[in-house]
Amino acid sequence: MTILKTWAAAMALFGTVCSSSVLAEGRTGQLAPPVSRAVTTVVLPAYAALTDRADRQLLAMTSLCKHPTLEALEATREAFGSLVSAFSAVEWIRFGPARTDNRFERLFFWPDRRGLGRRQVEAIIRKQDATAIEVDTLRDKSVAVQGLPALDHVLYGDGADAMLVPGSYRCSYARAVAGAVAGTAREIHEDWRRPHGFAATMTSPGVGNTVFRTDGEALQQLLKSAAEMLQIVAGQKLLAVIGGSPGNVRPKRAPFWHSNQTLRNIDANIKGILALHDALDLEPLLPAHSRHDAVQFTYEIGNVGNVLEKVSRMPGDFPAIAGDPDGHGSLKFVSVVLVSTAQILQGRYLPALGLAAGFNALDGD
Amino acid sequence: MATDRRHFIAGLAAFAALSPWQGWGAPGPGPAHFAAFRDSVGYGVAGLDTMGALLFRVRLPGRGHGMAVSPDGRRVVAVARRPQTFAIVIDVSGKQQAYPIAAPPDRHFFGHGIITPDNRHFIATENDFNAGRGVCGVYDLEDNGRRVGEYDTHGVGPHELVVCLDDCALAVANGGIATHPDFPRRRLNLPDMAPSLVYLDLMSGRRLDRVRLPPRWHQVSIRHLCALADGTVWWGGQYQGPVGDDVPLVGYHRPGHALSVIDLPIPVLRGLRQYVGSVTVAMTGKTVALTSPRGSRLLVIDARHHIVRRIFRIRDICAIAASGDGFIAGSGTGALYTFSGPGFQVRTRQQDQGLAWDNHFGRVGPAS
Repeated sequence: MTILKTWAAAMALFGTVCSSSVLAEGRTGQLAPPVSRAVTTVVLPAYAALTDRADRQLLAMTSLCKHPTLEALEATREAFGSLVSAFSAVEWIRFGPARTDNRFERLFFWPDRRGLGRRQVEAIIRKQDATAIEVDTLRDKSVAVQGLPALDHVLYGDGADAMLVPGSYRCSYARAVAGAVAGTAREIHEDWRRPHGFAATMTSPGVGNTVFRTDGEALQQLLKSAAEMLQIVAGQKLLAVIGGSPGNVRPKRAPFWHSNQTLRNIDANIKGILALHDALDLEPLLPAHSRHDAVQFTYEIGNVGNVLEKVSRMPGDFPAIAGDPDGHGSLKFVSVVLVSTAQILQGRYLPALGLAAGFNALDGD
Repeated sequence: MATDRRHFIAGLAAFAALSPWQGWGAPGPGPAHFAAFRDSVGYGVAGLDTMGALLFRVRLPGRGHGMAVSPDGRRVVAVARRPQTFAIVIDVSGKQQAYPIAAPPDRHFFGHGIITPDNRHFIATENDFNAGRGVCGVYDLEDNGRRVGEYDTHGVGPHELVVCLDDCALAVANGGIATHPDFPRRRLNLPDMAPSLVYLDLMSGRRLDRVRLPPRWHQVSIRHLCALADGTVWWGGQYQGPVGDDVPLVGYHRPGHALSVIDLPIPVLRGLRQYVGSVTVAMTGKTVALTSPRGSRLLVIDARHHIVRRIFRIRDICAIAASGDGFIAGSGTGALYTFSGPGFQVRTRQQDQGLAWDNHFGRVGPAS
């Protein structure tokens, strides 16, 4: 009753100051097709691929634990590589179903500055914790021991040979992690695609929509997340790891350092953003003087791709490449270019489309 | 490192000259409010009178955030936005040169501070980022801002702090979000967040109390505070969980009781877009106002009956303080608003377009 009364009072008094402009109106109507294309041709297929790779990883792991041969281990590691690529393509999607229940962190607890995951995984294996080899009980544990970094550790870290010992605890734990990853990936995918799921939420904004009121807000979310991904690659996966000079590499800060898949992760991150950019195809919607930005973006990302390809052919693992003057220079170049491409998405597209966030609404403070 | 710091501080000093706004100099009451801003030249702090007229500005080397105002109104310390490391001590009369304070190398400011009731010490929330814990740095304003102590905030990611309980205690909002300057933009512990409201003895830093929300709301980051004369502390929060969730964003605490939440009507709650940027109490102590720049909302709430008195929709509104019998607020579009009278009648004062008011106002005088 009190609530009702308050509600009525609130509504009656609502809107004494009518602002001239409202959040994220943008070019209403024109922005629906890009958002819809992004959801149907990029997000949903990418999550479908992730679910598929996670299932394959679980299959490979199950057969490895049953018949621990070198071939089976190789097949499991290959499946892990595909899983890393598939996850990296959706890593930029840090909103929606990935946020529910900390699913994003369950899949990818990173950065882990204090090596929490490594310590917790080692403790589980040392104690042979019986609750860590069942998917259900494992999922109640720390997010750091049930995702891709945990798989990276068990498959490639110190003691990975134990995966070849018949009936090893390590393999049982790894199988449970693979099961948890597959479960989490499936939940996210389901929450996107089910009727009235997040795909619908994103493509049918409106007054009754609690997440997106306008197509502009949905587009804002996509571009902001994409820009953030590029900034994270530039700052946290590259600069923070390779340091200021070839002598200052901090290899353990890199994602997937056990399996040496840092570059694969980065490459797939960038390709994911490029796929989004292509699907959005915002160029025709930009004012004439801004259209050059779209060309610029594609050109710069293409450059980055070429440099990364060249770097990935260099001998040695990621820390060795980052410690080589040429490799270091190339990676530094990549990070600089990524910062400027992120700026195109956030600092150029959004204002050009009338979607710039307010000064105080920018970053949580 | 030492050289870097010296250069840094010298660099800061160059900024810290107080310059009158156009036409200022006429005799009259001194500034009543202070706020950080951005304009075409860069960042700064402005002093305003009760009606929002601009009196002076001081340039800042980076984006400012909260304002710590001494109770005697003579000094204001402009605190940098996280994760920066500078604060500028300004003599409001302009007679003494403003000077900078730098956080220690292994700390950065979180954007808020207070000046103690005796006008002597500046206390700011800081990040001990290597240990992942929140602290309050204590600086002596009678000794060029020398850092003389540190209090543990018994939490992670402290944000705003206020003086409360008859000037004997500090209430600190431990937002619960772990951040590290090496990972800008990243919230490192969302699954394990444990925000709290902590009371510390003002003189010793000893913990007096710590209260939390129920576990289901552990991702409601308690960030902004205001203290009422009756000992109640109001809080405003931001939610770090899924966007569609309806969770409390405002509440209050009375010493000795559990932490309470205000059940806003759902449409009103959703209008805040899971984010409260600033809370303040009117000088009458009867109403609390809060803003959401993300939702472009300003709410006035009856402090006793906990019902919403007024809702205003103002683009990018955030900074708010008590003024006269109502409030004064500023927006990212550069506009200032005053709210007065029984109906909180609004008057708009548009400033030049190129200016954007930052999140907070500091105010001369007691809380309520």
